[in-house]
Amino acid sequence: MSEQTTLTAARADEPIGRGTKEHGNGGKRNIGVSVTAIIAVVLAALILFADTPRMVTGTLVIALTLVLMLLRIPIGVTMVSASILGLWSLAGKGALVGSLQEITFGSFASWSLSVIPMFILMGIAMGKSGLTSAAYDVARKWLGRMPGGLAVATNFAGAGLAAGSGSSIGITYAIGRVAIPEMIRSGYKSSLATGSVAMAGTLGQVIPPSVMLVIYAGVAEVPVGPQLMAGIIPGIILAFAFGAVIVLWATLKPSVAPRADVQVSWPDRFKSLVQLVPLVIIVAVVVGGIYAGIFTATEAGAYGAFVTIVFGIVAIARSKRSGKAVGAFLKESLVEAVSATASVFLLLVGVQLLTRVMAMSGVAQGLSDYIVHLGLSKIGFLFVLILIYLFLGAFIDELAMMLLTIPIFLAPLAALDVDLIWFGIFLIILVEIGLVAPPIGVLSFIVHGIAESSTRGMGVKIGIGDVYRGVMPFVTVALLFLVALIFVPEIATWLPSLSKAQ
Amino acid sequence: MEASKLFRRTDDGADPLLSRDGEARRDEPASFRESSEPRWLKAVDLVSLSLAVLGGVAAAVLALNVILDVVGRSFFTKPLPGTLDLTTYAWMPTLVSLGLGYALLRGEHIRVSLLTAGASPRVQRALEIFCMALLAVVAAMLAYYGMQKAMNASTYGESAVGTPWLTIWPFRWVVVAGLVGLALQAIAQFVRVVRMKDFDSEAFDQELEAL
Repeated sequence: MSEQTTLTAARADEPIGRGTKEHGNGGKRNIGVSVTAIIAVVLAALILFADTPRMVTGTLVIALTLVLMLLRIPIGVTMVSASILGLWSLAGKGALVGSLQEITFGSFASWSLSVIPMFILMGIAMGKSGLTSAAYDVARKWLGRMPGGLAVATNFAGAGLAAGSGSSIGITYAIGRVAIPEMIRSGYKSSLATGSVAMAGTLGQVIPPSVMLVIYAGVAEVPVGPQLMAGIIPGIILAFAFGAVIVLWATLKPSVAPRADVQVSWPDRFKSLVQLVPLVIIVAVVVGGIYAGIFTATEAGAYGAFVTIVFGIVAIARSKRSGKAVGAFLKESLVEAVSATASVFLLLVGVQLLTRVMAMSGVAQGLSDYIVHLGLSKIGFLFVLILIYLFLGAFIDELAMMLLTIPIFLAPLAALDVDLIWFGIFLIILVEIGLVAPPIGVLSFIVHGIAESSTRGMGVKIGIGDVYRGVMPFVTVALLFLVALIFVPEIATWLPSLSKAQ
Repeated sequence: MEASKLFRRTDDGADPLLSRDGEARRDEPASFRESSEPRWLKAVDLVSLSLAVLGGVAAAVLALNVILDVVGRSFFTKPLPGTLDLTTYAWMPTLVSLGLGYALLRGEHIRVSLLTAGASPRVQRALEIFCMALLAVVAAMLAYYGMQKAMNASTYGESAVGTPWLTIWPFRWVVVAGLVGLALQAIAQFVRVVRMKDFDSEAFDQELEAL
């Protein structure tokens, strides 16, 4: 599963991760699918043939998108096809054809989004080169003796990797394969072991470089550099908060995490730091470069990818001593990056079309007027949004949730004077919570998979319920952090205002 | 969808959605990697992979272009001319569009299987057939209208506003090629699912991964 190094790559794996093997309630499921399919047909017919007010048509398009999504149709395709019907109905054939002629090229031809393939390439090259394995090893040498030390090490290794790679799933794999078996062997409770790995992964999208933040910036039309910078402080705070949860948990209930037998001398500790040098350089180039205003986001991505590939070539040439292996590393990294990028941009084509439908139907404006009319305060609205996103996150894919809702919520957010860069961080943390929270946290399923395969033969039984029990304390803390972010927005906005990021 | 009809074997029955997995195809194993698979399916896979390799080259060129631009700007006070427009209008459309078909082959387009995961193989198979048909139609539509625009742009020789020497229209054709690749791959997957006796989305995705 080497291609799992990007967020999108692993999403494609959902059926494996989430797939319920037993077809026990197949009958019920079949009926569910059939009913959903009938609803889709009805919605499509209503959009095309019923003479509904514009706002209703817009709402029907969103409903059709969601229903098609449930039928396992690629999300980008659901948005494109529902929007085609919507545009046809709202604006007629001429406008639809005009949109279709321009939309694909227009969505792909973007300077600011060119950072996406670069970040993805970086993440994939990092995963393939083995650079990621050093982080956990170093962290455990330094932090292993603390209460819950191995879990703390997992957490901070995740934070470190997050600063070098924008992929939650890549990080989860890199750390989970090593850390879970070691924690279980040391007598850790499986909930703590798996929960800490899943949360370490969530840091990946908050701390830059983050593909999701770039996608958000592209759709919300905010500058990419400052958006990425805004994630740094929230990411660091979350990392320390998660670390504190682990230490507290292990101190209050020592049985969940017996002291690991980590015997490392101080010279050994310092020696281990050498392994971190490549990662530190990559972080310095990307994050430092953007912060100091030396690089635009794309330039930082290009240099980051370049440096990562150079370190990867050196590492592979050293361990395998074959030019062929180096060639394969290059080719696979590039091709997989292109493939993952394509899947992201197919979504963006869909979002572009959907945004047009939203604008033409006036749904976004209507919602905005409605919320203003309700007299909801900014803070009240944000609390409502937390509930909406937690609810949505329980049913649909997180990236889809983000892309679907941004075009709808942008107008109300603007009306309430919410800073869109701040909102990006707020949203990304909600997305990360959705990635681990029941009932369909993708990351939790992936961690469960890693835990099962990496602890085979150890005589432990790890269920998905253990993972959910493990992430819950962290999710609670993350929600508290969101509240803090609402009342102290500077947590996210201070650094971008300080930096020279372009 | 015309192409798939042309290529579909005659014994596959009139309507894939209605036909039971009956006598005619008992001899076919569930896996689509078996040797009896028509050669054109493999050819489509190869086309997708080749396009993705070209896209990979474009990604590498993008990175190098941007890197050299910074070097030129910082050390020789001379940025590479047209880096921004080349990235926007040439490298990005090329690398993104040429990966579309391969991403489908790898099962990388993002899908939600919350509702469908527990459904019976027959229902899953029907859904997959519908899904690939819809994908093929959507990709073909985008390709067709993209082509109209590309033809138009070719006749007036569209070029970048800030960089007059950079002609944009050839890259519109590259995007059309990528979309055609996606449509072809969707048709290939469509035919594969139609030919499969017992469809299981899980096994199907693992097959894809193994490729």
